[in-house]
Amino acid sequence: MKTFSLISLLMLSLGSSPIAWCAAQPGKVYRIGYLMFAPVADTPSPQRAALLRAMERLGYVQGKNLVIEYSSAEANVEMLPDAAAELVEKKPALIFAIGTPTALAAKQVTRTIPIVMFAADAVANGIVASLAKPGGNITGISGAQIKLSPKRLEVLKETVPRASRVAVLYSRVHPSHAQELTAIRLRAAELGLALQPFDVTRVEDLQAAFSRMSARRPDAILVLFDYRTLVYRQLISEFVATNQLPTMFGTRESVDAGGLMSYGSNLEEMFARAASFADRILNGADPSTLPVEQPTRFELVINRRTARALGLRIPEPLLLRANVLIE
Amino acid sequence: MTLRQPLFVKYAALILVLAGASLLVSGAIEIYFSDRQHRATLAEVQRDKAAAAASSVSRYVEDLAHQISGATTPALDTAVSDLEKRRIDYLGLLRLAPAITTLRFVDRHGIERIQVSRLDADRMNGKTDLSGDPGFIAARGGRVHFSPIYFFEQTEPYMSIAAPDPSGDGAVTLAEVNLKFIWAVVTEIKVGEQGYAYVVDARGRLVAHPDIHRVLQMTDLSGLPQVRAALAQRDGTGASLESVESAVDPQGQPVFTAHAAIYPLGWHVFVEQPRSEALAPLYASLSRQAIVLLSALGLALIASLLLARSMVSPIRELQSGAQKIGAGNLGHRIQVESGDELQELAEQFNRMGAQLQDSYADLERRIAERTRDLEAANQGKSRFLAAASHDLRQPIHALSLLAGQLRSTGRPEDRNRILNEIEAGIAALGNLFDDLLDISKLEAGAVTAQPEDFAISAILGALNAQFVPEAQEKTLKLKVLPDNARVHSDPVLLQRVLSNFVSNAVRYTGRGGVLVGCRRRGANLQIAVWDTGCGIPEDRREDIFREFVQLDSPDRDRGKGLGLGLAIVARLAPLLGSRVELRSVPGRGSMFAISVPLAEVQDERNAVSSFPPYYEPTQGVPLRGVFAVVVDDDEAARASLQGLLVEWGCLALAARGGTDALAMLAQHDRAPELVICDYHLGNGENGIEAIRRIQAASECSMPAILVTADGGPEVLRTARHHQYPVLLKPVAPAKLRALLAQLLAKGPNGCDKEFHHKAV
Repeated sequence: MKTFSLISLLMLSLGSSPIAWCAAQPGKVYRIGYLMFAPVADTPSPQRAALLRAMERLGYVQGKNLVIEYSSAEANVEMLPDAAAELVEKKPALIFAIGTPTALAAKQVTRTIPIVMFAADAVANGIVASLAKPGGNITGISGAQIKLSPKRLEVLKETVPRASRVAVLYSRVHPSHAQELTAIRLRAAELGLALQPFDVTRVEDLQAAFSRMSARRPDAILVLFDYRTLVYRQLISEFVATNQLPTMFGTRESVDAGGLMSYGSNLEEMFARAASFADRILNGADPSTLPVEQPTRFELVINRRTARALGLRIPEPLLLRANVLIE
Repeated sequence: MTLRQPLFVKYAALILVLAGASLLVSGAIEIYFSDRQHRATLAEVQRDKAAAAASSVSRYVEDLAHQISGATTPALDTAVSDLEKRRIDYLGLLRLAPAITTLRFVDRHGIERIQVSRLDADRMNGKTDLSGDPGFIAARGGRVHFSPIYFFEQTEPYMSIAAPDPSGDGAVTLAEVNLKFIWAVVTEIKVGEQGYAYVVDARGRLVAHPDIHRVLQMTDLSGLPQVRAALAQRDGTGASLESVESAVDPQGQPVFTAHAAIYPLGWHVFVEQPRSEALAPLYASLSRQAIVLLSALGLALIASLLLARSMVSPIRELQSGAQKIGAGNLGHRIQVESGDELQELAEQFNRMGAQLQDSYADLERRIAERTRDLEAANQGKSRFLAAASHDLRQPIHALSLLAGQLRSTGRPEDRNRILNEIEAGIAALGNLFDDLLDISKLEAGAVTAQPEDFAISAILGALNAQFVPEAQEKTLKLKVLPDNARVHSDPVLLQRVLSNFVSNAVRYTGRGGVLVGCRRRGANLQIAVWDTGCGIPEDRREDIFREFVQLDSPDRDRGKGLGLGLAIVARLAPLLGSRVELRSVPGRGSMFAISVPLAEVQDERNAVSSFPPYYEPTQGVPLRGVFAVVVDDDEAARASLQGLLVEWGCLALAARGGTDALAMLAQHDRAPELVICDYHLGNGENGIEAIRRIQAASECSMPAILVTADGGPEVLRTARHHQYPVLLKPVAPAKLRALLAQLLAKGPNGCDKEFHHKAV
C-alpha cells in the first residue's frame, strides 16, 4: 500500500502520464512567457527548475525547441501590470503566471494568450469562473489557502497548546488574504486564540511588524502563504529564530530556511503539474476546457532542530501527522 | 503468316486465371481468418487487461476499506482515552493513506465523535448527527459501504467509505476518499501506443482517466455506446469486441473496447484502443498480403506467359514446319525438343517429309527409268520400223523387178513363171505384213485371249490345208496327225502359234518332213511340230524368239519372212497361258510344242479321222458360170477381184457395199452362189452384215468368204463365229481358188432356184 501510494504520488507529482497525449512536435520551436513577482535569478528556483524539468520530460527542451521569455515585477506589486504587458507584447504561445496577483495582472492584460497560473483560491479570487470549467484564457494550479490556513492555525495550536495569542502575517494587497483572515478568525475563535494580524506587503511593513512583535510578543506566528513571504522567508526565519517564536508557514521552503513548521502542498510537485497544462495548450487545447487543478497532497513539515532550539516538545500525534521531519 | 495467337492467349489466360484465382481465393481465406484471429486476440488481450485493471482498482479500494476498518486497535495505554487513542490511530491512517482526506468516528447512535482531516477542522466530540447517513446505516449493520461518487466543489471525485468498527458494537468509521489517487492504477494500463483505460462510476461519470483533466470536469460518458452497454449489463466482464462494435471515444473516433465490472463498487473499467491502431497490424498484414498477392499474381502472369509460350511454341514450330513441307519444301525438318508427344509429332512430320522426299526421288527415278525404257522402246520401235521397212523393201523390190520382167517377156511360159514368182512374192509380202501387224498388236497389248472349248482337229485341218501345198513345193513331207481331243483355249491365237511353228518348220527344213501331232500330258494337250531341219544350237534358243532373228541367215533371208514368227509365238504363248517347248538337235531336227488345257468335256462327236483331200488349184472345180458377188469399198480391190473371178469364168458382180450389192442383185433373177465380202466396208458397215443382207435378200445361205486387211483376231473371231472363212489381204489367188473349190464342192445349198430378189 505504501509503495502504491508512493508510486501514485510520484506519478501525480511528475505530472507526466506514460501516454503521450500531446508532446512537443518535432521541428517546432515553442516560445512561452514566464511572468513572476520575484526578480529573475540566474539559477532557477527549485520550483521553476521542477517546472522546467517537467517540460523537458514532455519534450520541451530549453535551448532546443523551447524559448522562455522572463518578465518580473521585481517584487513590486505595482510593476506587475507593466511586466505583464511587456510579456504580452512579445506574443508568446502561452504565459506562466506565478502567484495570485501575477495571474490576475496577466489576465487583465490579455484575453487571448493562454495563461497557466500558479495561484491560490482561483475562484474566490475571481481568476476563474469555476475550477471544473475555468472559462476564459486562464487555467492552471490553484492552491486551497483559504481552507488550509485555518488548518495551519489548528496545527500550530496543537504544537503550542499554551498559545493564546497568534500573530498573522499577511498582505493587504493579496486578493484573498482577507478571506483567509476571515476563516482564520473563525477558527481562532473556536480554538480560543487571539489574533494579531500584520500586513507585510512591503519590506518596510515587515520590519515594522518585526518591531511590533518584538514589543508585544505573540505566542506563535502564522505566516500566510504568499510570494512575498516566500521571498522574505530568510528575514522572517532569522527574526523568529532570534525571538524564539514558533512559526507556521505555508510551504516547506521556509522550514528549510529555519522555520519551525509548514503545512501545505509541495510546490515543486505543483509546478511540475503545471507543465502538463502547458503541454496541452501548446498542442492546441483550449485553456477554458482544462479544469484547474488543486493540490492533492498536503505535507506537514516540522524542523526538529528549530523545535529543539525553541525548547519545544512536539506532541506525539503531531509527529504522527508530520510527513517530513527535518533534523 | 497471320498474327492470330489464340492458342497462346488461351493458354496464358487459362494458366493466369487458374493461378490467379487460386491465389486470390487462398489470399481471401487467409485474410478472413487472420482478421477474425486478430480481432479475437485483441478482444482477449483487452478483456484480460480490463479484468486486471478491475481487480487492481477493486483491490485498491478494498485495501483502503480494510485499512479504514482496521484502523483502531485496542488501547494499550489506559492513560489515553479511547477517543484520543482512536484519534491518534486515525492520524496514523491519514499518514498511511494519502487518498483519505477526512476520517470520522461515528458511535453506534450515529453521533459523530471524532473528525480528523487534512483540510477540514479536526473535531472531538462534535455531536453531529449522522444517523441518517446511508453509509453509517449500512456499516452499522456490519458491512463496508461505498457511497456513490460525488464531485467535491464540482471538480474533485470523492467517495465515502463507511467501515464498521472491529469492536462490533455498531460504531462506524467514515472516510472521505479522494479518488484522484486511482488515476495511478489507470494510467499504467496501456494497449499498444494509443490504447488506455478509464473508470466510470455506476452512473457513467468518469472516475479515473489517464488525462486527469477529464476527470476533474465531471465528464459524463454514459452516452457512449460501450458505457451504456456495460451499465446495462451491470455485472460481469464484457466480451465487448463483438457486442460493442459501435464503440466510440468521446471524440467520436471508433475504438475497440473491453470492459470489466469493479466489485463491489458498481464501477466499470474500460480498456480501449482506437480502432485504427488496433486494426493497424491487420491492415499492415492486409497490405503485406496484398503486395505478396500482387507480386504473386505478377509472377503468375509471367509464369503463365512463359508456360503458354513453351507450350505453344512447339505447336507453332509444327504448324510452320507442316506448312513448309506442304508448300513443297520437303527438306525442311521441324525442330522440337520438348521431350513429349509434340516432339514425337514433329518427328513423325519429319519422317513423313523424308518419306515424301524418298517417294519423290523414287518417282523421279522411276520416271527416268520409264522414260528411258520408253525411249528404249521407242528406239526399239524405230529400229523395228526401220528394220521392217528395210526388210519389206526387198520383196517389193523383187516384185517390181519381176513386174518389169513380165512386161518385157512375151512368151507365155516365161510369163507364167514370172507370174508365179510374182504371186509367191505377193504371198510372202502378205505373210510379212501379217507378221508385222500381229507383232504390233501384241506389242500394243491389243490382243487378249478368249478361251473356249473346241476340237483341236479344226486347227489341225486348217494347218493341213494351209501348208501342204507349200510343203509339196519343197518336196517335203507334211503329215498332220488327226486327234479327237477338245481343248480349252483361244482357237485363233492357238492356230496362229501352230501356224508359225509349221511355217518355220517348213521353211527351215531342206529335206525330210514335218510332222504335227498331239500328245496328252495329264490335263493338257501338247501339240508339237517336228521337223528334220538343221536344228537350233543350244546358245541360239533364246535368240530365235526375238524379233527379226533368223537362224542360218545372219543377213536375214527375206524369202523366209521377217523372222517375227517366233517372236509372235513368244508373245502369244503367255496370253494363252501356255509355255513353248523347244527341243532340237543341230543337224537332225527340232521340235516346237505348245501345251493347252484339255476341255472338261471330251466329245467324240465330230471326230475327224482324216482331213479332206487337198485340191490342187489346177485340178480345179469348175468355176465356169458361178454367180459371185464381190463387195469391197476399195475400188482397186473390188475391180481386181472381180477381174480374177471373171478370168476364172465366174459371173462376178462388184459392189461397194451391201446396199449397192442388193441393188445390183435386184437386176438379176438368180441368187448368187458365192459372196466375197470385205470386212471393213464404208459407212461403218461390216462385211458380215452385208453378207447377211445378201443372204436374206436371196433367201438362201450361199457360201461367203470374208476378205480383210485386218489381221487382228477380232475379225477372225467374228468370222469364225458366223462360220465364214476369212482370207487376209493380199489374197493369194491360189488360196482363193482352193477355198472356192472347197466351198462349192459342198454341193448345192438350195440356192439354185430361180427367184426374184426382193426389193431392198
